[in-house]
Amino acid sequence: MGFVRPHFTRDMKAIEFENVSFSYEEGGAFAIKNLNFSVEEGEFVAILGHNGSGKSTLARLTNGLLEADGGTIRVFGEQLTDKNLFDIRKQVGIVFQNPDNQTVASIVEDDIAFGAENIALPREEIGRRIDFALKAVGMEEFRHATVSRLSGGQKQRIAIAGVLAVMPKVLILDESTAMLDPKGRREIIDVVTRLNRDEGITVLLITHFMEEALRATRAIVMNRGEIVMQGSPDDIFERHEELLTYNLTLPLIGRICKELRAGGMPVRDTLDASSLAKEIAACVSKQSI
Amino acid sequence: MMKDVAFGQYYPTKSYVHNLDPRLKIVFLIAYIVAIFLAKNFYGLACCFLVLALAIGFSRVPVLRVFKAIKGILFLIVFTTVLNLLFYNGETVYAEWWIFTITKEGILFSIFLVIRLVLLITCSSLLTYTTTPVALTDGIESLLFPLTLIRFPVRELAQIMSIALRYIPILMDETERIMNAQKARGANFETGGLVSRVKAVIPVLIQLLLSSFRRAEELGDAMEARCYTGGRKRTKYKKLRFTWRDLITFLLGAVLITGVVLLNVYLGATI
Amino acid sequence: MRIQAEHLSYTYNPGSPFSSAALKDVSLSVEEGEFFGIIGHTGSGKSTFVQHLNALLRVPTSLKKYKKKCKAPPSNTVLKVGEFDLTDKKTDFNALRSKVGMVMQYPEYQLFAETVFEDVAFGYKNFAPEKPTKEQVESAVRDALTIVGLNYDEVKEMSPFDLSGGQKRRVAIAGVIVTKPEILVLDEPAAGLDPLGKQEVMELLHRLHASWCKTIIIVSHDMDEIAENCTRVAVFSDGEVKYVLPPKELFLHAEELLSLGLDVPLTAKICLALKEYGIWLECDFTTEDFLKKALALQGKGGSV
Repeated sequence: MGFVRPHFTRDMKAIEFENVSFSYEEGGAFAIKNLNFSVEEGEFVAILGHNGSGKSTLARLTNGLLEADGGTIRVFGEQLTDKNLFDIRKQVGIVFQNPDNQTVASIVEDDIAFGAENIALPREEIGRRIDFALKAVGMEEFRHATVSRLSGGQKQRIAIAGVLAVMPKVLILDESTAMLDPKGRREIIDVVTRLNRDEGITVLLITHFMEEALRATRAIVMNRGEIVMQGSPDDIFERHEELLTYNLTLPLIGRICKELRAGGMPVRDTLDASSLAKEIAACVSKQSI
Repeated sequence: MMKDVAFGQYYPTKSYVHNLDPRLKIVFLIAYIVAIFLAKNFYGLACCFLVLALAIGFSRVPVLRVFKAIKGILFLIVFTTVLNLLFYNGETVYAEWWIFTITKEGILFSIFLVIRLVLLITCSSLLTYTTTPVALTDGIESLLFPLTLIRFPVRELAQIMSIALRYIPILMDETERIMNAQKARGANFETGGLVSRVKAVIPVLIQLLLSSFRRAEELGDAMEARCYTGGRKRTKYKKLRFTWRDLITFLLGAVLITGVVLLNVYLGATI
Repeated sequence: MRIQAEHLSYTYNPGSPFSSAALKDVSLSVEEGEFFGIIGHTGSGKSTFVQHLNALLRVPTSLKKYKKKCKAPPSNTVLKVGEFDLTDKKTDFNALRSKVGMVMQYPEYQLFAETVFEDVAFGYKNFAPEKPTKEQVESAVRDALTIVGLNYDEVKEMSPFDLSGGQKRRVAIAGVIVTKPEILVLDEPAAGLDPLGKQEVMELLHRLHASWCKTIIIVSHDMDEIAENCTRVAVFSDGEVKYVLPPKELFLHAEELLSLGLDVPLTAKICLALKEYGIWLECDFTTEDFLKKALALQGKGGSV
């Protein structure tokens, strides 16, 4: 029965959805409606949408926590079926919303070991993976700490480390920042940006914080289970009026840039306070000369 | 802040006893309890007491705190002692009244009983003072490991215990939060008759149950997403290590039991 | 009702190895009519302080019990909310709680009744001095649901669990304000909501502030929210109050706040960065005022 699987000649897609549909109740409203999209390996994609737009459903479909009613889902070219769930999950890790509901052990290193134990790695390798994962999220000194004493942001970084210990090629963050304070949120986004840049991990960031989408290479806006907008974060934020119709708002910095321009100050769109200050300074000094 | 208390008795400090292998501590505790009940004369008990005193000394847990554990069962001790004192069937009768008899054997037996119970409670609580619940779970899992041969799901049991330990502080916090929210909305847990208090607790239980289900569902997803299947073979990262300290303590335990047996044989039983 | 706290201290688990001082000699007053903000990172004591306001935590009155275990609280502790003296054991705490509403974090998780009506009515029935008539309950629930922006007739018979996230939160808030408290305290009222939900909650708070709840206190991590909405802000750190200032003055201390591990509003960050270019932009840190002043800069070449 030895046949060799033909090599894919086209570019390797990390994730591909082909006409995927899903509803939580049989005959009920579609949470995901006839969805087509793909993510290249190494991309950083932000998926935006208000509560109930189907973005979390999409995450759970990708690694088989939910089973699609119709259509095909492929992960690195391999079609997701009942049989290869385990192997797919090794490649697609998900970090969820509530930092308290993802850890299985009281001590940090025990929790991170969990995934690596599940895929039956030898002991020494698990140790190395814990080292790697803790370093990747910048929590080396917390190896023996008690999870319940960490802050929300730290817990969530441990949750990421726990997923990283399995060494997935794709990391999905399913509103993982929603319950954190701004500091914790920044920590998570920094970690994820670094993982994408330095480790080449493909990232799907599901969020309703517009600010976070600014770091992504591509943004997808979902509404009622469908993709309604797609493009670079800049492009998406340009289409301000359209965003509003999907119950989304511009990030505050985008709103300020836009208002300044409307008021006659020709600032370019920027992503952070210091570059906006530079823009404003440039406009002001030009005037005064 | 309740979550700290939930970590029960554990007294956080660094000491010789804290650092011992939890398996050894559990085995040693069992051996010690056996020794207490094997001791038939005061020399044997003195021996046991000495060992306990040493253990407490090396544990750096304040003595008062260790003996605090006795306070909880003080009533039980007094009650059984009095019963034994009044009803023990002995030969040398000192006093008799109605259905009560006080005998020499009864007095001796009661004294033994008090000493035994005190030693028993103190040494058990010393274990929980010096061993974190997590280490205890690891120890029990490791000791039960031979049971996997008869297909007893030791690993799964340990997983359940470990998750329970993780979620006890969270659920306690949550209970506090829910009760506070209810109090803020006028629920009354402190005064009123039994019926009204039970009535006040019901919404709290409903919310706690709902939230536990929600957590369980999310945790299940998170575990599955991290490749947990339940059936598949898993490896284990943490191995408990036996050190020279453990060896010394093991020898000490063996000496104690032998000592108590020898004292029994050569000096005869008091009771 | 005015809130007045002087020399307030609180220690969790006094005398145990886990003992931790959550409040150290805190003095703070909130005047009637304020929209007051409280900021500080986790463990700074802000939640402990807020829980004192409706006696979920009590001022340790039994000095004897306290003294044995650690330093006694200063006997000059004052904690008053309007006429209620919270250091006095005989105070009617139930009456206090009907006047000081408290909305916890993620209050929608505390919904429990079968219908929205029953859930909102819960607090009203609990606090009523004598059994209220059906009409009274109905009108109170109708008022509460209306002011949080829900249609009474549409939602009253629904299960609270069938509502959307933002609606659930509004029902939970309605359940607290149904007694028309004069002071409303909210812990992270907008946390976890999407941008629209956030906006709705903030609008609803201003609506309440203009009508039933004379004083509103919000605990928040979102500095933009604080700058945009609050009249004054208290900064907690390590169990102490570091600053009590209007946002306009507070966020001038942007560098100190950042060194305390706290965030500052985006507008303050931009103003701070502008200083490096020799531009001093003075505003009250609301977006509206910032835009006005920034645009005014253009005409004047760098000084306002």
